[in-house]
Amino acid sequence: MEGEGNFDYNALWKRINNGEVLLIDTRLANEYTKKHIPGSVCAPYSRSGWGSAIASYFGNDVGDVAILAPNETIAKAAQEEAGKNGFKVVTVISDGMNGWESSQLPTAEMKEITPEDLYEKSDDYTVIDVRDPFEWSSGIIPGSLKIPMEELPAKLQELSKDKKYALVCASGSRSQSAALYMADNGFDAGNVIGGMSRWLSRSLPVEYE
Amino acid sequence: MIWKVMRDENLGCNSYLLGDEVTGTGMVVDPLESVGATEYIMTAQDLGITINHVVETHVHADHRSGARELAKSLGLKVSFGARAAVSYDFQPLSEGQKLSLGSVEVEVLETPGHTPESISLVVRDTQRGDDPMLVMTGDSLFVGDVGRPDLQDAGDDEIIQASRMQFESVRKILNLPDYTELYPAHYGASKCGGLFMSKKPSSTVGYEKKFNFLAKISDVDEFVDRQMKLLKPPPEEAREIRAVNTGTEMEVN
Repeated sequence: MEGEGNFDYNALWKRINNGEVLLIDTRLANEYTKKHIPGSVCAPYSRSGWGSAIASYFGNDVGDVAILAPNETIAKAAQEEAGKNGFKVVTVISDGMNGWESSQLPTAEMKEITPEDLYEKSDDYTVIDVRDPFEWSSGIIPGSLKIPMEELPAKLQELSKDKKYALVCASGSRSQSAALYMADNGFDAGNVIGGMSRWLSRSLPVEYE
Repeated sequence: MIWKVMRDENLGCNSYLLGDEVTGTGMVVDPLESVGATEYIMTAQDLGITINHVVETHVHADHRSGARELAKSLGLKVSFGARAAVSYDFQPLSEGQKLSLGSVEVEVLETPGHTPESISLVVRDTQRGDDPMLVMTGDSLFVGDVGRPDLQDAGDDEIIQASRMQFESVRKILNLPDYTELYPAHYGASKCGGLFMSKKPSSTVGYEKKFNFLAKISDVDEFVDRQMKLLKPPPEEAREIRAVNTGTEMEVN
């Protein structure tokens, strides 16, 4: 327990893969996006109803649950909340990804690209704008593919696993989920942090429909 | 940009949680023991930022700091002005150093006087612009007042020396653009200021330049003279509180 010392990460990894334990990652979404344990679910801890939210999402009869937290404070709070909501918490990791990484087990990672970097290396990337069509009138990054978020799953087969994709939305929040979804499906996909808000505020070039 | 003031109204203390919601990076400045490490960690989590830096503007002499407990809970070191005389291992900060919290940039200004290691922190939200947006002044410049120079158990000569440094530090802060918001470590009830400290917890550089009784004095000798005339007894237990905050004494009471 507690993600230190002799904690057996290999055993946990096996149990996750066999579907015997549900690993809930309580870190903030952007920490999860940068690096997480494959198969874990992203459920950032918050003081307002986190336990009931995960209970209504998963149901609390999911069997054994493991919790991954960024520090002891959040580990303790999440464990308590999960317990109160009927979850059977069997393992708590309280040092984020540190212990996991030192055990050399697989991780899932997603890149973050600043608008400035993207602009400089625009030849390397294919940009996908996942905003809703009405938002495109504020300007799009030249050459972007326009694929609204909800159409992305259906369009995946038209995309290439040999290309590097940069996903953009208004603020970098929706595109984070989209990039993560693509990365989990085997694409080289990164999130444009700050989104069009940062792109536009840096006066980087846009084209209009 | 995330900006959250966390205060203790009884002590007249301000502490600050700031960061960048895009990259999820953050900082706590002058955390209070009375607020507690858990409250800072949970508030940051609720706001979507991780606390990557715990910074003290100076060694506090009037209230117990929560910096060490918070830093320890997060596996971090407390950051202090490089001249801090504390007994535990800290991250030293010096003039001009910049700490990056995603698109929020925090620049260190050394502003000695109240204490030798006092620093002020100038914040820029580079997502919006490159100029300063606000400054956290610790006990260097308050709303209506300036920090007192006599809390170091020093002799008269040293207090005068500290007051002269305080004059220069105040000038340095007042060189920031007039619209820069000013967020000191204390307001109202605190014992670290003097007669003129306002109950209002924040101000702007321009307003203080114009109406702060001590800060608007342009002659250093007059400033020192005024400050010496306004001295008053140090807060009770100042020495003990400093000992706790510097780690030279394990526990008081």
